[in-house]
Amino acid sequence: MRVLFTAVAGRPHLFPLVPLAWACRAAGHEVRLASAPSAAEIIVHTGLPAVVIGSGPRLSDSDRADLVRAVYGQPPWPRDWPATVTRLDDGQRALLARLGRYLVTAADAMTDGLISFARQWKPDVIVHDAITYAGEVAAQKLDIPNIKHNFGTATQPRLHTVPEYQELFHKHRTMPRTTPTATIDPTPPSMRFPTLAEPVLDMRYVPYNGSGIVPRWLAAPAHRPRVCVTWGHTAPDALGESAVDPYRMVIDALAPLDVDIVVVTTAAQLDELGPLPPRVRTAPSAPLHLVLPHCDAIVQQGGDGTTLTAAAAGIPQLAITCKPDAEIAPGRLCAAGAGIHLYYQELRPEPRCEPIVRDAVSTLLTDSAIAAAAGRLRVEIGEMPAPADLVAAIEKLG
Amino acid sequence: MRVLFVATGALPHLFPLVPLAWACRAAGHEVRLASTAGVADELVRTGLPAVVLATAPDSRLSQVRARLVPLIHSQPPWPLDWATHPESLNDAKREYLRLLGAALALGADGMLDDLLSFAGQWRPDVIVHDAITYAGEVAAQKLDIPNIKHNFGTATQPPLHTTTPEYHHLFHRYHTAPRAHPTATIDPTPPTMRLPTTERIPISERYVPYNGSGAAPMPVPGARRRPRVCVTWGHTSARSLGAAAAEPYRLAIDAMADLDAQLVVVTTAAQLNAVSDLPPMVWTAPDTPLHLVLPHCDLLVHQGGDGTTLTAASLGVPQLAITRKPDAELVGARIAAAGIGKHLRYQEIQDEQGPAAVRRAVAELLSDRSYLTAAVALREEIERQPPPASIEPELAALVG
Repeated sequence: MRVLFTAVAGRPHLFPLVPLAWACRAAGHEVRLASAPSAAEIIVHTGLPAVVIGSGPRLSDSDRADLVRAVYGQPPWPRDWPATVTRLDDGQRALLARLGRYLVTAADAMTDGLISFARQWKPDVIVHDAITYAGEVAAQKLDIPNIKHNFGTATQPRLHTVPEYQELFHKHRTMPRTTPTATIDPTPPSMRFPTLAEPVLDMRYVPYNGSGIVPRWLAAPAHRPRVCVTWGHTAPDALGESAVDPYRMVIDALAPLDVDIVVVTTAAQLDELGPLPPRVRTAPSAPLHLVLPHCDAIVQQGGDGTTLTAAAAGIPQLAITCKPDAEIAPGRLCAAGAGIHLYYQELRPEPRCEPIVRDAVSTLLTDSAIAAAAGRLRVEIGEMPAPADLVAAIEKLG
Repeated sequence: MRVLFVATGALPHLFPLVPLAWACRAAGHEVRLASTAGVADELVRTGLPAVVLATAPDSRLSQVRARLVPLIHSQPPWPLDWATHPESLNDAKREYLRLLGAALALGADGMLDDLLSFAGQWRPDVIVHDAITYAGEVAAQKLDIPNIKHNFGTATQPPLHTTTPEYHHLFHRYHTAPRAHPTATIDPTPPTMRLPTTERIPISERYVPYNGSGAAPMPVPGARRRPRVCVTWGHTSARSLGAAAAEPYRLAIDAMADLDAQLVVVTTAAQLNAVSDLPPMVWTAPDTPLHLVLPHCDLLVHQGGDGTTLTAASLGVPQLAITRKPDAELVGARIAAAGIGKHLRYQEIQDEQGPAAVRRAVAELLSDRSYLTAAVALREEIERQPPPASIEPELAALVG
C-alpha cells in the first residue's frame, strides 16, 4: 500500500503525523510525508521520505503582521468557546473567518504540487492533518480515501466554514466531501469536547516533538522539584523575540521557590531571555518528551502538542495563554482536573502577577488531586490503541 | 517496554536498526537509539530519540584505523567462498581479519563507558545491537537483560569476533564474560542472500530500506525512453577514502558514456564534487536516499555494500557490484550466485580492457531478462518476510 501523509508547513500539524507514518513504514508500506518548502528541514529530520511541494501561503509581510496582531491582540475568549461558537461576538467570528481564509490560502499554495505528485506516485490513501485542506482536494481529485488526522483539542472548531473553502474545490473542478473517509484522533477522550463528538478512530498520543539528543544531565537525581518551562515553536515563529516575555516573567516568578527550572526552547529564544536566575538550566531544542519524564510540573503556552506530551507523561500543567486557539486545550485540561489555566492578557497588567504564577506552580507541586488527575490522563492515553494498531484500519480503507 | 538500540558509529550498522526501532516506538514502547559522535547528525535525522556516545576522540582507535584503511583497500581479490572456508585463507589474510576483529573490540571499548552509564540510568528491558557492535553484548550482560543481535546483511558473516582474543579481553575488562548465544538474532537478509552459518536460526525480518533521511527527487522522474542506470558507492569508503572512493565509479560512468542509457548518480554532495565533468547524460541526485531513486531505475551499479544491495533487492532492481575489498566481495558473490546481477572486482578492471568489461556487463544486465526475473523473485522473497512491525511483538514476548 502507498500512503501519502501531508500537512501544512507547521510543526503542530506535521509532528502528530510522524508516529503513524512510521507505523505504516515499519509495517512495510510505502510512505511519503509531503509539505511546503519552509518545512523541508523539519520533515527530513523525521527520518521519513520527504516530499517538498508548492509553497507556503502567499501573504504580504504587512498582511502577515496584521494577522499576527489580530490573533495575539485578543482578550480572553469565553471558556470552551469552540463548543459554543454561535455565542461568539461578531469580531470573534470575523477572526475565525479570517483564519479559515488563511488556511485556504495555505492549501491553495500546496494543492497543485500535491495533486501533481499524487498523480505520479499513485497513493492508495491520503492521511492529512485536519486543517490541511490540500489533502482533501487531492484525495477527491484522485478519487481515493482521505483520512483526516486531528492534532489535539484545538482541532475544534473547524475553520473551513468560509466560502473560500468551497471555492478551493471548485477551482480544481471538484466538490468537498461531506465527511472524510475516516478521522483519526490522538486526543484522549477526556480532552475532547463531548458535545462535538464525531465518529473517530482513537489513537494513542505517542509524542514526537521533533528529533534530538537525549539530555543526559536530566537523569541525575534531583534534589528539589523540577519545573519545565516551555513555549513551543509557533509563538517564536510568529512573534520573534517578544515571544519570550510571558516566560521571562514565569522564570522570575519561580526564582524564589525551592525548585529547579528547566527551560526548553530554541537557542535563539534562549538568547532573548537574557541572564537567568540560579537553579535554571536550559535544554535548547531538546524534544520535550525526553525532558518531561524528569520533571514534576510544566508551565507552557497552551499548544496541543505540548499539552498532550505532558499529559502522556502524567505531569501537572500550568498553561499561560496569549491567544484564543491556545485557550482551547487548557480549558479541557482544567476540566480533567490535571492543570491550571491563566490568561496572560489578565496577568500582564497586574503588578502582582508573579505571586499568582508562583502560587499556581506551588499548587501543581503539592495538590494531590491534580497529580491524581494527571496520572489518570496518562493512563487513559496509555490504554488507547498505539499508532501501530491503526495500520490495519488504514489497510482496510486503502 | 524500554528498548535500547545501539550501533557502532558507521552508517551500514546504524541504518538497518531504524525501521525496527520506529516499529517499537509506533507500538508505544520507549526507544533510544545510541551510537557515537561521528554519526550524531545521521542519528538525529532518523527522528528517533538519540543518545550520543564516545564524544571524545579515541586516539587508539584512530591509530588502528589509520593502519586498517589502506590495508582494506589494497587487498587483492580474495577467494569467493572465503567467509565459509576461512581455514583456506593464508596468514596475511587471517592477520587482516584479526586486525578487523581487534578494531571492532576497540571500538566497543570506546563506547562502553558512556553506554553503561546511560543504560544504568535509563534501565532498558532489552538491548538490540548491530551484529558487530559488541558494546551492546557487554552492556546486556552487565545489566543482565536480553540482547538481540541484529544482522546487517550478507557480510554479517564471518563473525569477526572469533578471529581475535580482544573480544574476550573486552568482556574481561568489564568483569564479565561473553554469552554463548545472543538471546535472539534478527536477520533482515533474505535467505537467498545469507551465507551458511553454524549459528542458531534467526528471526527473519523483511528488509525495509532506510538509507538515511532526505527528500524524494522532484519533479518525479518521468517515464523513460532509454534505460536508466543508477550509480552509487555508499557512505563507508567515501568517509574513509575521501575523493578516491569515487574512482571505480568514475571509471564505470565513463565506460557507460556511449551506451544508450541515462545515468543517475546518487552520492553525497562532497563526493559529487570529486567526480566533476560528468558526461552530459548524467543526472545527479546528491544526498537523496537510494530507495527513493531506484524505483525509477533499471539497474544499479554499486560498491557491494549490504544496505545498497538489499535496497536494490527489495525494489527488484538488477545490480552490478564493482567491489574493491573483501567484505564487499562476499556480497558481490551472492549477487552473482542469486542471478540478480553481476560482480566485477575493481582490482581486475584497472587495465585498458576494464571499461569494455564494465560496458559488456551493463549491456548484458539491461538486455538479458533473466536478471530482472531473478531480481523480481528476490523482491517477492523479501516481501514474504515479516515486516519490522511484526517483529515487535516477538521482541516484547522475549522480554516477557
